[in-house]
Amino acid sequence: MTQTDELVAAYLARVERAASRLPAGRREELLGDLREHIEIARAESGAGTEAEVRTILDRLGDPESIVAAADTQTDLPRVTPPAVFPPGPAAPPAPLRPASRTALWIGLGVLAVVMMILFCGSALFMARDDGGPAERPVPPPQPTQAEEPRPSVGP
Amino acid sequence: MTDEAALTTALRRGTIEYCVLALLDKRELYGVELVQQLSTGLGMTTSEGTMYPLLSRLRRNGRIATTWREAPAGPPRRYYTLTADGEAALTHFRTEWVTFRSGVDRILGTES
Repeated sequence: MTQTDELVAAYLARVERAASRLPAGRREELLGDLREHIEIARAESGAGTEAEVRTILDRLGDPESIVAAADTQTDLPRVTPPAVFPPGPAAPPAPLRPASRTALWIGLGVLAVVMMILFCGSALFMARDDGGPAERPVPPPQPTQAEEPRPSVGP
Repeated sequence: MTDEAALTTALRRGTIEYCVLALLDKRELYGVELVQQLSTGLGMTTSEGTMYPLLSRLRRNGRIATTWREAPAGPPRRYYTLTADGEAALTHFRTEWVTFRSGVDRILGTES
C-alpha cells in the first residue's frame, strides 16, 4: 500500500466510524460513493501525487459533516411521509362518512321502495273498489260534480 | 457551526436538490463532475462529500437514475440522469421558486 493509498484508507475509515450510526445499507452506499469518487478523481488528477490526493480528500470534506448530511437526507424522506400522512389519519374518518352516506341512501331507497309498494297497493285496492282508473285525483272531481248538481237540485 | 454557516446551510437545504436536477436536465453527468459543478456553483468546494447522501436520496425517490458507461481513460463512470419524475419535480420547483423569490424580494426590498 502506497502512502497515498494509506491516506485514502484512513479517510474512508474515519467516514466509516462516523457513519456507524447510519443503517448498514446507507453506510455501505455512502462509502461506495466516496470510494468511487476518490478513485475517479485520482484517475483524472494525472500524477496522483500525495498533494493531489490530499486536495481530493479536502474537497470531499470532513467525514463528520458528510455523515451529518446523510442524517438530514434520511430525515427528509421522513418529512415527506407526514405530508402524505395527514390524508392518512384523515382517511379513516373519510371511509366512515361514505359508509354512513351509503347507509343513508340505502335507507332512503328502502323507504322509497316501501312507499312505492304501499302506494301501488293502495292504488290497486282503489282501482278494484272503483272498478276503473281510480286515483286520488279522481275523487276530488266527484265532490265538485256532486256540488254542481246541488244548486240545480236545490231550486 | 456559526450563525452565518447555519443560515447558508438552511438556505441550501431546500434548493440544492433542484440544482442537481437542473444540472442533469442539461446533460447527464458522472458523480465527480456533478459534485464539482455543484460545489463550484454554490461555493461549497470543501464539502463535495456532503452531496452524495443527497444524490443517494434522489435516486431512492426516483428523481434521478444511474447508468454505468465505459470511459476513454480510467475506470468506468457511473452517470446520473434525470428521470421523468425528476423532470416534473424540476418544472414544478421552477414555478414555485419564482413565486417564492419574488415574494421574499418584495418584502426584503431586494427586487432588481
